[in-house]
Amino acid sequence: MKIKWIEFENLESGLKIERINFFNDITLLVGLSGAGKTQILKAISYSLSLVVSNRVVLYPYCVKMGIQAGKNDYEWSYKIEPNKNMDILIDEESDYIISYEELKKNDQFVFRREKNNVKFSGYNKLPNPKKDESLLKQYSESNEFSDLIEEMKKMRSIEMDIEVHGGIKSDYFNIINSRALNLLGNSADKTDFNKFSYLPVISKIYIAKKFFKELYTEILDSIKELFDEIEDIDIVEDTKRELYILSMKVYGKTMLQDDISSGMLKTIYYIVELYTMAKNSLVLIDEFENGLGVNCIDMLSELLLSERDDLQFIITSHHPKIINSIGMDKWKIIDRKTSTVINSDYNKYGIGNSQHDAYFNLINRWEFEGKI
Amino acid sequence: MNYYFLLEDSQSFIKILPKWFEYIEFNCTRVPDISQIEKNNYVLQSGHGVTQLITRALFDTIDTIISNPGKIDHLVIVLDAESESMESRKQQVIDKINDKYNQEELDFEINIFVCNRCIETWLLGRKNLYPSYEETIDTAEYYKYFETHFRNHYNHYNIELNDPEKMLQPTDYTSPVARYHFKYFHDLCQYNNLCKKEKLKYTKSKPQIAMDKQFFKGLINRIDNTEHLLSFREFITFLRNAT
Repeated sequence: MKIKWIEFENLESGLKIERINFFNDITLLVGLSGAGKTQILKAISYSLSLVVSNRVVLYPYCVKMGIQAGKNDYEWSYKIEPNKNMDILIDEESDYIISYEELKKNDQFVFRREKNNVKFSGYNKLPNPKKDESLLKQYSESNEFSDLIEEMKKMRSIEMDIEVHGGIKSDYFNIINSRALNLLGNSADKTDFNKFSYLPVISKIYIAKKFFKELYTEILDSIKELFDEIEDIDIVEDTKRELYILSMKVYGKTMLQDDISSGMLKTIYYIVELYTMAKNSLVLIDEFENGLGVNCIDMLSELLLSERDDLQFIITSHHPKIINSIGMDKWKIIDRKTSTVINSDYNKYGIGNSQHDAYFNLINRWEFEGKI
Repeated sequence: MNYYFLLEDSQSFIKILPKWFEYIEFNCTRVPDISQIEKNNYVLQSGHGVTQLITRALFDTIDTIISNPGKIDHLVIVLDAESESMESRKQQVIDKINDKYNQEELDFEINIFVCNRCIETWLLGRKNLYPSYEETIDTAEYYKYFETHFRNHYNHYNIELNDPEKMLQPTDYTSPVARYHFKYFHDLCQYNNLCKKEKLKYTKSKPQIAMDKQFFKGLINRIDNTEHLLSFREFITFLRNAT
């Protein structure tokens, strides 16, 4: 999947994001704090969650986005508004409903819904749709856009903190494990790790180490390149807390997850994710540099740019190193004009006319404009 | 004439200088980068504490000027002396440039100015901030602020009577002298602010008081009427001749 562009409006707060186009490989959102970079990532992940997650809380948003799935270009728009006909007798009514939704495929009309009215190309009449659910979700099995749905499931918003500090509950881990064993047992093709790419990192390390030795070696080698003191990585059970956690062998001694620096853990998680993510996934990372030492930033930026050229990255950063290592041609400079989040390419912004490094250019431009 | 100013100071001077240009009637208009230089323009940039001035930003700047021939007449570099001498800092820059470039390549003038210690040293040249004798007596109205904010500096050096550029740090102050000059100036402003004599807080990111016209006039008075602030005088003389 490739996100081509998005437009967003919060109907309640008035926050607008003007259309922003994304590059197929990597887009770096740069801008001062408060400009709206995180809002852009949230608009994308919220919209996709409407289709792939269960029980998403509805907010009064109006969104339009362009998505490329395989060879098809989709344009999807939706509008969520207050539920004016709330019946107080029905318990589970939402405060908001999807009042408008439209899908086009390669510029051809596929469906449009306006309140309860649905027009679906190729069908005369359809039953009333669920008011609090996207049609993409309700009809996710339909042939007309199954490729879109499949691809939309591949969004990975990398929110490291929760994962990195916890472990996985033992019963959950065991369930995943037995399902994995079933899959591997039944499937003749053992080389496809894709089926496991949505699992938590700890499970992925466990499965890779047990059943996908080559992949595991690749991952471990990458980790060792950065932290050559690490000899091995394992997943062990902390029986007291009923958790499965990471353990490392460092200079012959065993270190458990809680003793490992969070920056190191985060880097290991990033490396595992980069190697095991499903093909053509979309990866959203907010403030890439958080918690990472300069040694990790270097290596991860390189991995990001070279290892998986099928992935689409949309990341934000303030860090000069990252800003300098990702060329200006992949930047979108984010700014705020009252309540609208605007974006520019580097040349439209007027930088890149000198021999100075990208960060020097950007920060001096901001200073010239009185922004810092 | 077109100028390219490259400053070492990361925050305050780059905000202050355009205002000083106005007051001294340095009649060039600022443009954001070399591509917009036409006639009587200047570019003003700094490494912002991230890009090292010597040598990265310096070489990148010279390369930029060389690849835009005929645009820039003067490259003006302003650095802090910090703990070194003015002469040795200046010579460092000259040596680095000569090591890398041939004279023929550089068809523009390079002017190097060294702030002797740092920008705050120059700002200390402003008279009438220093507490008068009456303010140091314990019956004075704002005596408590004098005690908490300025007593130590008062005991150490009198910048009203003496040349700020010659002030060393106290023996028990372990950080470099430029840092002490900043602290002295910051505390002096704070004291004045608390006495409500003038609304005068100074920080590197908000150097507003130094951008004020009266303030600048005060500094000019200092160099016109005393032998103090030699490095500041050098810089101002250059700007005066340029206009």
